[in-house]
Amino acid sequence: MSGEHRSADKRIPSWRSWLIAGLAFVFLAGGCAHGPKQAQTTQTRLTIDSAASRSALPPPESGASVRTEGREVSVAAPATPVAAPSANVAPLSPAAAAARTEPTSSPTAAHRPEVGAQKDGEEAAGEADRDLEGDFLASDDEEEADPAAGPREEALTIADPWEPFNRAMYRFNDRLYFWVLKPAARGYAKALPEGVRIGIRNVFVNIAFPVRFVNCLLQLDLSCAAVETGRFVINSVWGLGGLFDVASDEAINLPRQRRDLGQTLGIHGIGPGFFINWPIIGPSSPRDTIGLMGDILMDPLAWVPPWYAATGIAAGYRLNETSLNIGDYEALKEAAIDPYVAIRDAYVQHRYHRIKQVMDRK
Amino acid sequence: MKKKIFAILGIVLMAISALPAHAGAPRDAVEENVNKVLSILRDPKLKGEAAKETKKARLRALYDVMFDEVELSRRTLARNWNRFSPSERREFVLLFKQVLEKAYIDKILAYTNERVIFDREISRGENLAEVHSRVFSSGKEIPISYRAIMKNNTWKVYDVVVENVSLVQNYRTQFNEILAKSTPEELLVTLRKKVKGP
Repeated sequence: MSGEHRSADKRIPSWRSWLIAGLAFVFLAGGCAHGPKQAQTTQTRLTIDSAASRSALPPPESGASVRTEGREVSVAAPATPVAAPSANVAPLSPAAAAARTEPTSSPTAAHRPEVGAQKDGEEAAGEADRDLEGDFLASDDEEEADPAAGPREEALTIADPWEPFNRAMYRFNDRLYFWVLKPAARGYAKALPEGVRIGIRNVFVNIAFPVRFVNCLLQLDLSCAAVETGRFVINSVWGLGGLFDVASDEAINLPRQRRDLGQTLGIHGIGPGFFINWPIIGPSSPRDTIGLMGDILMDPLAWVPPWYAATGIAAGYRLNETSLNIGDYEALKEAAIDPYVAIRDAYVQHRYHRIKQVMDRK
Repeated sequence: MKKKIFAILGIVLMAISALPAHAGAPRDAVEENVNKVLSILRDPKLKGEAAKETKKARLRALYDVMFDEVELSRRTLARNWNRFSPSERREFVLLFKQVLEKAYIDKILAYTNERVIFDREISRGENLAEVHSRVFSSGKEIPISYRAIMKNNTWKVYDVVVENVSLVQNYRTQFNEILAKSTPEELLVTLRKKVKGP
């Protein structure tokens, strides 16, 4: 493994170094300018959260109490597009994306956290005048009895100091989707039946096994690493090189472990910082951007020489993924009052739960 | 000693069964309604474009049974609810329902062969619960949770969480940002346009 890595290092193409250097600069600059305060808040929150969940008795309300203390709490979230808009915002690297982009799989259902933190916020609203169901005339007195509602409902937010840039990139990605990705994905979908495209997705996901495996280890979760190893062997052999995800079938029941580096950093107490909407890559944060870069480096498909082959593979993955999700982004956009804010919030919620799910298991 | 334990157990059991939460399990209520939705969608008599309106009308009626629209709106506006006058609240509830219908009805009508599995329910307090389900569609499994509240001995849904993204929270973030800069009336104007729009 280490030998492989060393040889891989030598192969780092210059474009990749530039990408990393550029992103690192942007991250540092942004972090100095706007990040610290927000990041700190988040970090505190997550630390408390993890402490709570580690104490064997993860009280369902632990999130709530933390929330009440810290007025503004942001969420941990790496460069992962939200399931719905994933077509629009899927990460650059196919396999890295596969590790994170797709919707939470069945397996995780069993481990889903009991209560989303965001829930507590919404509760605040209803609590005061809960019994006044259907009563639009709830009196002011009653509402004043609910002063806690204010801060608590802010529970899941993220700082957005780059909003003008982010909104511009939202428009760019929106056009990229409607003008390029979607028409291409439509033609592609006509050429290949859905079953084949799902098989192709499975192959990408299977090859990205090292990303999930390493993150399982970095998260000190040995059972996760074992499941991933088992999946890789089973799907590579019985699943014909990963074409079929037989390990997820009920008989074997080894579901994919959705682990990524941004999540790992979040679990270890690093907050997301602030919101960044990258062109092409989509919703992210400084932490998740670093995470994405790390995941790309762990993804075998990113090391296929020459560099344009790796880029082509990434584009192919994105095309395949888009073809399987046509309509999701459209629905989200149509449903939203402010699509940019809707996507940002979906990203925040999504990443928060990715991290919370793992912490709740421990 | 043993008798005493049994007596205590008996009392505890009686106390539990007397709790209002047992007036009807939230999972059963949600599952029943979701199954009704599916039966409307799969009704062989309602096929083709002509039956679309009939389907929509039935789904609308079912929505009112399944959801607590006021609770949903109030949680969505959160503290901003207090800034709305009673008549503005009434209009907001109506408009918000129409926004949701407009956005999701076609997606819902497109669902026919999807398999839905209901998993566990989680009590979130005396009268709150979360019901987990999974929808299988195009080789993917989509987790969907329904958050329900019990009022008058009936469980009604006030939030839907798709792939860990809460609908209520998502709109709340949007409305919060809009209402930070504009008045409730201005938001209603935006919603009216959204409902009428293309």
